[in-house]
Amino acid sequence: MSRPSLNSVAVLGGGVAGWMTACALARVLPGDGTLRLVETAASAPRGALSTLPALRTFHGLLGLDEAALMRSARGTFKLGARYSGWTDPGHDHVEGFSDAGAGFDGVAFHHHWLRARERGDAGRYEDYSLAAVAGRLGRFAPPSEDPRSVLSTLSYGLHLDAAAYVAALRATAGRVEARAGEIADVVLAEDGRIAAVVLADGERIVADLFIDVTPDGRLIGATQDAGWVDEPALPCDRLALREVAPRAAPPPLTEFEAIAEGWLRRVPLRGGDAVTLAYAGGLTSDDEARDILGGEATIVPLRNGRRRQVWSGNCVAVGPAASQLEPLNGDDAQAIQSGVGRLIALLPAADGSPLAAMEYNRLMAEEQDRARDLAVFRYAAATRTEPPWVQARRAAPSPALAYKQVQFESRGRVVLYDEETFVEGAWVGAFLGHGITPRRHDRLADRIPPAQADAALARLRRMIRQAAQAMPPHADALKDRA
Amino acid sequence: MTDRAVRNILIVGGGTAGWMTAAALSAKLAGLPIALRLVESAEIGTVGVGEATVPHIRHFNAALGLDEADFMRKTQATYKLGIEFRGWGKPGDSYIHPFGAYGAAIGGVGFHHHWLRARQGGDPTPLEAYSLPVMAARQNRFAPPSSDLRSVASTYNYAYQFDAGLYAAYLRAYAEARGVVRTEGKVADVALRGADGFIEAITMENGERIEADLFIDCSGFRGLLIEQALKAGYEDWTRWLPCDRAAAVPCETVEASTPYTRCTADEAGWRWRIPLQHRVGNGYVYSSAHISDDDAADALLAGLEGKAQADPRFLRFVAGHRRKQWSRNCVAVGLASGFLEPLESTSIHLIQVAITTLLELFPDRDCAQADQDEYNRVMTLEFERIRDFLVLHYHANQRVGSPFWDDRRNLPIPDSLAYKMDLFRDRGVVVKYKDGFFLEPSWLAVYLGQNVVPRMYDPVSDSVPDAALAQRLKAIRESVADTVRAMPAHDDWIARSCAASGAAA
Repeated sequence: MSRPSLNSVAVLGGGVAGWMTACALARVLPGDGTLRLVETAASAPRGALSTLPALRTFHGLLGLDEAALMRSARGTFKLGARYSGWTDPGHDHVEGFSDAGAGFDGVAFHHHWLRARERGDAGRYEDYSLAAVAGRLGRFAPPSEDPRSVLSTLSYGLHLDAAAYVAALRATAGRVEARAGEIADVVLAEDGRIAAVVLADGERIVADLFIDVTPDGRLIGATQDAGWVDEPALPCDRLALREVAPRAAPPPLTEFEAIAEGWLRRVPLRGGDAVTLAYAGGLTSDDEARDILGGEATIVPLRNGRRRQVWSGNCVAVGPAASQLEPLNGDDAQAIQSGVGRLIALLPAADGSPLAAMEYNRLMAEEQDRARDLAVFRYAAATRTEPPWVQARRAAPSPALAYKQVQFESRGRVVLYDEETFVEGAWVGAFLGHGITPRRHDRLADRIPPAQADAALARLRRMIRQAAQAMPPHADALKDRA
Repeated sequence: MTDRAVRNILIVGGGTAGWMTAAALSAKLAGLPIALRLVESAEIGTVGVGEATVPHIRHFNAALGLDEADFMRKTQATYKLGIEFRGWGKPGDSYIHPFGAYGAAIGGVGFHHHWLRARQGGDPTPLEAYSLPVMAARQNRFAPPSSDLRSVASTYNYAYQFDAGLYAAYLRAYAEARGVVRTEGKVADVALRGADGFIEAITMENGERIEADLFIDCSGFRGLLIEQALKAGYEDWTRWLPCDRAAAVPCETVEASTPYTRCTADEAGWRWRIPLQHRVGNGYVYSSAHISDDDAADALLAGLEGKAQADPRFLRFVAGHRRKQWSRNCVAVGLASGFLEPLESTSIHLIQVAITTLLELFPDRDCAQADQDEYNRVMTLEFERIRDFLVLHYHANQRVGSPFWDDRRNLPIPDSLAYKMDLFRDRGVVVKYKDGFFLEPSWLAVYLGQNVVPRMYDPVSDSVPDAALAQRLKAIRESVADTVRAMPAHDDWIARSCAASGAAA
């Protein structure tokens, strides 16, 4: 058994991907090794992040204090996401970070809801999710640790200003040797591994492992990485970012509004709302995008898809260099968190680990494809008839998504594959929210007499509504943290 | 309830599969207007010899509301902490695959990496010193796990070794008390509906015709409904798992009963030993291409520790599974659905998974294609993942010079297993999937137990300083040893908790 451990790691690019990666690696690399980060201008963080609750676990590992982070990074709470304009005008739904209802009598809650709905009014599915109800009411409270409390069903993500988040990460990075620089050349060795990265000022960066956190995969693209797979079912290839004045009562929700040209995302930050327009450059010009946003905006190109191999030789791509996806699921930074987490779990030896790379590539591809399926599903379920929407629906869904949708439509079964970011409750919320109703409910739900089931559902809805109404307004909850 | 709802279910075949299905359906479908019926013939023997189980059986029993002590008394059951494998790596080797993890992660890195590191640094402590269930099994001790998650006594689970015939009888009483109607007799004919090929009815030898909306085939290897009537097809895995016969014989108990099953590698397969309260179940699973029935029976009898209680019974099988375990309105459960040799005690587990999955996908009378597809997807995955784990045992052997074992070591293995083994050999990574019964501790037990050693350990282990690691390892070791010392002898615990009347416990 050998142990040639990594002596040097170079992270090139920067931004959220660069600093999350550097901070995480700083905690696990041997103390005598070097960890360098070169920040390029193009990698500078922009706009806002709308994150899943899982990012808070990452902060816990880094020892990042959440209250301090929220103060410095203009943070607000996120209980879920609201989607409007996808189907009928005026219809919207909220996907909350707490599973709806309770699986009483051993059958998943949505079957009880489907059954009650066949008989009459059972309310919306989201009415049984405390996070969704509180989100709509603009209220927030932290989860309870008491499992008997309905507040224990809550979890929350964060809305963060990307640049300020990077500043907060930088402050905890400790041993990371960071400098600004531009990549002039990527020098390959004869075996195809990266021998060195030459910067514009002539400095030659040599390392056992290179991590590509550039926006365009400058390093990994220079290796024999087998190229990029485009995702044809997602039509938007440009994002326009703009910040607008804050609302008096910002909801603890990310809001996604489907429009003719694509979709608008609004993320509440302290002191302003970060608005993103996703659109198809071939159908909508950048100037038209600015008009839609009502003023000057930063334009960022987007290429939906992923690299076939995100780990090639001694180079690992993390973040946009590895995969890009219209930020439609509210899972910003998830692919980065997972990419660096899996890298640490498969950390190579100094002489490289081709098998670890193979496993890493398998895991990251699976994960990315499953998250993509959810974004593709949102387009597939839309009933809009404008060009980008029609174009999206012309592309065939992946076999995995097609099967998942067939199973849900048939009997409300949620099929989960390996490496799913979104688990059963999230998929049920998305399916039902976007208007996919199963043809049957689980027959085992019929074991409970109808009147008894109706009463239980009504009681649950009332309890959740009361619990949400008892929470402070989101704005007040933010003040408490200040 | 719509008029498409299932109103009648017929289970064809009793035995462990039939009565587990009947009992679970009678419990889980209570409250729905569904009639349950089971036909079986006393003339057709069941395979059940002495069964070893995995801890999931406890969930099954709990879901039925069974009282553990009563169930154990009535089935002559003993406790089970794992399986001892003798002679699977090199002849003379022994390791126990326990129902529990080794040690605990340190600094976010899996325990086995730290153990590999310490071993490389000269620490000779075997991995099993860090496993409470293994150390307890080695000393023939048992106590139920603690519910205090901070205690090392909470780091394991347990299963049972019981008489499968008695278990079936126990569940029969349970199911009949809940309305399952049992009919004695043999099936003479199966009638298919012309329109869609669904099973319409079966006709018994006495002429009785029994119709149902949904049929459960628990008829055993032959697959009376699923294969003979519906031609579901069979995925044959003989090329990876060539054992196709077993000889089984019970013998008298002559020593204290062990809280573990034993699987001993032999010339052309392996022998099992399952201690029950009233006797010991024994068997030899072998490849008929490598040994004759007579020689296998002789080897089995020669290895008995006590007097044989019967002549050896012979069983034949083919490793693999039905291509469609659910076809039209028929679901196969147990041996009718496929066969994987009981090397890791998965037979009853597969029955349990089949029942659970059927309940999750409980159909209407038209048995939607989507339900069938999903059931078959889930069950095929379950079979494939267990298959890979079984093949690992055979493949990772160092029994050089034995034709049977040389073939196992040298012939190709499934690509999915080769991938897993490559990752482990390279750097101690256990490949994980969402589905599949055996988790990381199980793979570690077999890899390391059969001398598959990684080229390197996880380098992040080095972030724990040497002295701190040595101290932590010592603390875990001592905590395991101290806890085991305080546990009662297995037979004493049986006597105290669940002794069958008249058992030599």
